[in-house]
Amino acid sequence: MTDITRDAEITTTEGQSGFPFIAATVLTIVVVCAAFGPWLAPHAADAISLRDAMTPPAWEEGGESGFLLGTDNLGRDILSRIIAGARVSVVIAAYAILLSGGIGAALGMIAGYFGGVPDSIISRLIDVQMSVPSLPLALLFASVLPPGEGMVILVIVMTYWTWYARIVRGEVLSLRERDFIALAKVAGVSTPIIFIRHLTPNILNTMLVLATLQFGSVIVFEAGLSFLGLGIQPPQVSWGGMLSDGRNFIEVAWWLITIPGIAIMASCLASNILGDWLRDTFDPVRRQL
Amino acid sequence: MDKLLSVDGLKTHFFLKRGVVKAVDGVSFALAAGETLGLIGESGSGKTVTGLSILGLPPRPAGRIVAGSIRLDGVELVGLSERTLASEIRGRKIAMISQDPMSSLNPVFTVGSQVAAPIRAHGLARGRSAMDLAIDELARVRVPSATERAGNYPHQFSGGMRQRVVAAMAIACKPRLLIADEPTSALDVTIQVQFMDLIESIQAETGAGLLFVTHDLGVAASLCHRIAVMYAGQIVESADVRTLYANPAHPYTQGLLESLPKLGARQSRLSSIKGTPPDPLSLPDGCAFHPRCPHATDRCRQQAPPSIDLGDGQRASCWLLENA
Amino acid sequence: MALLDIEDATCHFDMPSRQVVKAVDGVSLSIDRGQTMALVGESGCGKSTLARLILRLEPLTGGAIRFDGEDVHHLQGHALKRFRAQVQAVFQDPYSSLNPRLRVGAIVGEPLKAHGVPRRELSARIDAALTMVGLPSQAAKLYPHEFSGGQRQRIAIARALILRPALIVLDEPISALDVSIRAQILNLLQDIQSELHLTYLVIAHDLALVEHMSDVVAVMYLGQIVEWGNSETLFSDPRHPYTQALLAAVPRPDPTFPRARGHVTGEIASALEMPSGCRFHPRCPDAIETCRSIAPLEHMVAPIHKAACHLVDSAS
Repeated sequence: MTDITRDAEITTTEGQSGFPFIAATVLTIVVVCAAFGPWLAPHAADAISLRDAMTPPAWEEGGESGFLLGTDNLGRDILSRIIAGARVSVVIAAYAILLSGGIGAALGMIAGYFGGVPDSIISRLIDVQMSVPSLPLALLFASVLPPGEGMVILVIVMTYWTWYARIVRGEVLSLRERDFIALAKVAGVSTPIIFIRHLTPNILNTMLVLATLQFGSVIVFEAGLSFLGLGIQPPQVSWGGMLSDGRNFIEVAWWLITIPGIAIMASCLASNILGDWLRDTFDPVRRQL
Repeated sequence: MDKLLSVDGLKTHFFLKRGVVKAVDGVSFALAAGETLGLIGESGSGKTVTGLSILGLPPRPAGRIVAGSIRLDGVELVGLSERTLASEIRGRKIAMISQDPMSSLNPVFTVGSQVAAPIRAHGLARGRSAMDLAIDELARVRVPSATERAGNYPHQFSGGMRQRVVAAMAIACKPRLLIADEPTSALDVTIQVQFMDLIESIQAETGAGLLFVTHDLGVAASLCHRIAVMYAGQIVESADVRTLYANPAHPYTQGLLESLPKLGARQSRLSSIKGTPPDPLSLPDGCAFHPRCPHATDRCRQQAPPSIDLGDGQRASCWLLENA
Repeated sequence: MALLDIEDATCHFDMPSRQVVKAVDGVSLSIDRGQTMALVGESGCGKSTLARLILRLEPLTGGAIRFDGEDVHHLQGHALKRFRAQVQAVFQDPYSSLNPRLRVGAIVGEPLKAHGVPRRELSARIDAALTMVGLPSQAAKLYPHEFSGGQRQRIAIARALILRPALIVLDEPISALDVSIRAQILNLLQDIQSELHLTYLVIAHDLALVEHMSDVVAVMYLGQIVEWGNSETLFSDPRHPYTQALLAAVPRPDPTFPRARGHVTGEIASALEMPSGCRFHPRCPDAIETCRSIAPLEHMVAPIHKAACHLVDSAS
């Protein structure tokens, strides 16, 4: 009867199916902007035109249809800059996720599978890393390394690999007890093959969920660093940098700060919703694995 | 004999994305006070869902009682509000003992307070006197030095003792009906025997009826007065325990009994039922057992058999018995 | 020479609390080629740990286990590889024993790959193994979740026999299956055994099953063998009070059979707090003073029948 009660849970999630679709659309737009930005943007992101400075969005009084989301104090088109910023955010998020996911998963698998001394070392490393706040770490790095994308990715990887490592370790701890792992050993399958064939495919879902959830927090984190001037340096465009620039004009030009804010919030929210949905979908109990 | 519980035409269906599962599909039986009815079946046969339906707890949200009546002491339970069920029926008049004693007990409360909880919840006693009653119940299920043990936590008990504590919780409010779902399956054989003795003595003292849900034909033979065999949501055979084991009428019951290895028999080869239990989403037409039945005819493939009275309280649903 | 020879094997686990769990504590057994030996006992008696020791999944802390004359726990390189091809296992839970992410063909063929069988031979041998356990060859393309419990156990058996091993360890091979499926799987295991001349070690708690399947039975209690013997003699004339109690407690599908009364009381002790003397004495209805202080030694009570109990006389 357990199968049926498991199935029953599937029906409970049916009602909310609209949200993940919207979230996936938002993220697709962000990724498309990142990939094809230069062809999509109506203007060059750094084209200064003081004549057009501080044009409000097109639907506001005094707006122009050529500048859909308005311009900033130097007359640069906000829409084009949002699109260019998406590229920076996505590229950084992609590198950060791949690196932190790869490192975290590898260490987590080793710790979980072998236990003992490797587990103690990796687990203590995770504890240490998690007790270091990421902002002072970024400050430290910013003072010794040249700022820019590389530094931002390094800080993010340093902060986020522990996420993956902890969760993958826990997952492998329970996988290790599954009989198919013992049977693989009995059949003489070597340890590297056990990692590749038996452990990795069974943690991929978890990794995908974590990566989707992390996408949002990486964007917020990167925006935060850039806002503080520790991250992406002008003239490269980033959403955090746009927020920081617009801060001075908050009383006269609301759009300078609101529009990048919305971009950050929307991508983060979308990635969280999609990640939650993926987690529910992949849940082995609900899928009756 | 007045019937304590009578279930009539009970249907509990699950409404899933992929279709409707008729988990319980027209089940009828009755149970007298002090009697033990064994509900025997494999996983997916609907035996557990029958028990849960009587408690008013068909697995939500997909499961619903769609037809039938469940009467306890003449009072109809189907259609009662959740509130009435919770305050007047469950734990008070009907109690449940489930398979896994560890998950039935909350690890952060003492055993005594957990046995006292239903007593308090149903307003039978309060405070200290509820705890005294709980200790009486623990003593009744033969937990040694109950007064001291009441202050212990579940993890300080062994598996068999935990199952006794669960039994104490179940009988704390002197229920009229006990539903036990595979209560012995997680126990070792020597502990099983002790637990069966305990259940019998509880019944003798309280006069409660027992619906014993199990897949174990051996335990059922030792404990039950009557047996109902379930297959694919229906009772295919019911009879007095001695009749059923001595003269099983339905081919499924016959097949099950013949397929068991028996101590002292030294068979060289077991006879087995062919095939596998049906997919609950697409049950075969006609008699649900026909694809596995050695005697199936065209009629069995097309029409569901009626329940046939074979005398001496034995009934079976099989076309082969029509003229017998 | 015995195929498998276990000599005074022990497996002790150190607990964080500095206590020692003696899961297996001085077990000696041997299994001849083509035999079926059953290991019975209640949960916590150490029978599954012993199986894992034989499969070299747990480290041995004392004694030796020899397979075909070679010390299993000291094998390395090629010799270890050979051992891994000779000894296979089927476990209780067919849901846990199949990797949900692999197709059945990959699962059944995995041992072949691990032992370097050429790729072109794989599909024919996978086919043959599936046929042998009564599954169609199309099964190879499906995933485990498309099969029922009984079919999954067939897949697990196909995987265990594909390398043509000498010994298969069957750890509760039918207890997780539906009642109507059990006899099918038991018959299948017996057919395969006679066809491939396999040796079985069956771990089980169901004594009726054990009597049906085995040639030799060993009864385990708290890490030790308390009685060992030819299946026929042991079941007709059990000598150790624990074996007697186990047999009496077996629920029989016969309502006229009286339930065992007053045989043993209490439960198996925790492996952390081993009783002194005979480990069974706190539950034994016949315990005498000696039982509390002196651990009994195993002795012959009949040809091919040993028991470890002070109250059982040696065969003269």
